[in-house]
Amino acid sequence: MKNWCVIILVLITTGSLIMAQNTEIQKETIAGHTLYEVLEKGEIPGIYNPEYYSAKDADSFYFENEPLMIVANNGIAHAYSTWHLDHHEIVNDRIGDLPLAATW
Amino acid sequence: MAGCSCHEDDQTGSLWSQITGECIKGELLGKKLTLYPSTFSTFEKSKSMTIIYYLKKPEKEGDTSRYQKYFEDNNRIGIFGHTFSDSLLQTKDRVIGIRSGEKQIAVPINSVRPHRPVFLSFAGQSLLIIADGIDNIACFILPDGKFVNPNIKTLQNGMTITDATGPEMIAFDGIIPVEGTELETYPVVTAFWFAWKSFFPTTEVFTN
Repeated sequence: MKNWCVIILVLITTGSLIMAQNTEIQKETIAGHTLYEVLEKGEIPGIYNPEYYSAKDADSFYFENEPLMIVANNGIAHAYSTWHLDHHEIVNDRIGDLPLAATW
Repeated sequence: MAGCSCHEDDQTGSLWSQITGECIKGELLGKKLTLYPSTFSTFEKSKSMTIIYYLKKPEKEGDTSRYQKYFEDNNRIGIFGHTFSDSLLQTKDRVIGIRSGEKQIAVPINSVRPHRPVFLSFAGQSLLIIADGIDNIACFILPDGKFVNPNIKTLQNGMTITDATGPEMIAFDGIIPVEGTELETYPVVTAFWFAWKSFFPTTEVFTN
């Protein structure tokens, strides 16, 4: 499976934009849309080779109201805290024989 | 497509749109990733799932989203702050975005309430969207012709849905099908209305 790093590039429609002036931001046009590179590669680090807690062990690390994105394959589920994903944006993962990129 | 982020894969350096899953630049241009179903829930509610593992993270690193202020600011659209004008929904209304081929529909999240699921006919499929709180949603495919006239019975932690014309019943603990309820999930995304509409200008909007 491809590994993913994160570059946060912001895709903006033309003709509906008011933006702050910043001549340092790299931009290009793709299929009529303006693509802005606002962060350098890896500045928001993706998660590779994720490790997991059991439900019992997770109690020490998760709040009861902590929002999760959950993906299941063949009866096994992986849960990703979206608060944690705020800092990483993407998890390179595999659930059984299913390779996936969980993005947030 | 205001405020949509892209991801780059290490092997080829191609860029992929997060909302559409399509490669927009690089040697894999035009390729599409398969959108896989996921559900949203909370740690408390997820504990009823049989086999579930939780991504390791620093010990209780925070009790809120780092983007909470952005979520709550209806005047802030994307990083640069664009303008967006549309009369169908409010700019930052959250929607459940559903695609099938070239068709799209947005279901306002507020349309789906605990014990008040949404039954949706879309692109030749019967879909069921259930919620257990604004951040706990799931979408399932209903068997053709079933649950056309559903009866919903509320349970303490979920509900049952029976078909008025037949014996079939499905049951949920929150948004999780209980044992014996076999339903296929359907992949959906949740997004702000402005983002979904920008990507899919011809999207339908679900109304009750």
